[in-house]
Amino acid sequence: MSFFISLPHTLALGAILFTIGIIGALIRKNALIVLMSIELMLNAANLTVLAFARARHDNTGHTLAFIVIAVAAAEAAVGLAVLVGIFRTRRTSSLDEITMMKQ
Amino acid sequence: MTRVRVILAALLALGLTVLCVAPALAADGDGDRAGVNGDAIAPAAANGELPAISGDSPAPQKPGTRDLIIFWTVGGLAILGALAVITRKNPVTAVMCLVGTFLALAVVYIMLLAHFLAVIQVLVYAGAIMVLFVFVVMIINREESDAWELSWKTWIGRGVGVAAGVFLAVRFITILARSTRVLGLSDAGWSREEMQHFGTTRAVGELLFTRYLVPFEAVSLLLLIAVIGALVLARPHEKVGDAADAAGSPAGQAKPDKGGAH
Repeated sequence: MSFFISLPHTLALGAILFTIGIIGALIRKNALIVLMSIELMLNAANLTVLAFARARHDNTGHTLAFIVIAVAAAEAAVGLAVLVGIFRTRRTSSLDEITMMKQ
Repeated sequence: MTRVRVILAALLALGLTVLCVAPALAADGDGDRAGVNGDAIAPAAANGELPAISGDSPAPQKPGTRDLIIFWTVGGLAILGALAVITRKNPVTAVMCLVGTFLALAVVYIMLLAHFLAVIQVLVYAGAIMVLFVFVVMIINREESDAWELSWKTWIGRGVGVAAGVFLAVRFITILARSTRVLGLSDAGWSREEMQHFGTTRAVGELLFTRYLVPFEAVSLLLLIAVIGALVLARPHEKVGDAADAAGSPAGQAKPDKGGAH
């Protein structure tokens, strides 16, 4: 039972997930949820890369996806550390209330 | 609380299903591959370049209904999880739904023959990164009381967000639908060795340590910087001040010097 998925279906799934990620990053106020939406978008991009790697019989896409995962890990670590730092000083994680640069 | 437990149980069931189904699929696939590629390899394989994309093959293969059902079942789980992530008020629920999405995506990766990436997805994403998120949720335990607050200013922003997202989705899908070529991800045109080699740890590792060694090392440097940056950022400010004071005063010089000076 080897799978036979068409590339457009895979790309459509990636597009839908990416769109959900963008909507989440734009409409939510909680910084944690925004970070999660960014992770979602990175995963959708990974899915697209892997689908093309499968279509082109090329393992290079897998190395790219591997690097994307590593970068996502670094981004999550630093982003969450920033969030914890802001929470420590401002006692909030709402993006509407983090306006220090404005004042 | 019971709701969270139900979600956790469902996610656990999903994860167990993945663990049970994946090896069976792989073993099954081996048998099928042997049958398909034993004597009848498609002529498109001969030139070796993009056999699936070559448009002049007489009968473009269509995906089977069974494969589509499996694919969209798993993909639908991923989409539902993603929707739950951006609509739930409680961050813990959102994190758990995101874990479910990642597990479902790992199954899709297996269907795309990216076995190594599927394992990495489960270990790194569903394991490590999500644990990090859970820890931060525990520190910042603020449930949004007004996730969908009714203020015209925020509603404008949200309207723009939703409109942009919907526009993007419509554009994506129309472009995909308009693409004339049927890019079937079939196994025709794959030699048996290539099929067994594709997407394995060995294949990806060979590429990473030969052709893409520099990006690989750059990633290691990036991770090191991220670790140090996260430590510096998340450390309490009082402690930093104390350490500076202690370093300044003659009595407390011994302790901070160990970590700081060298």
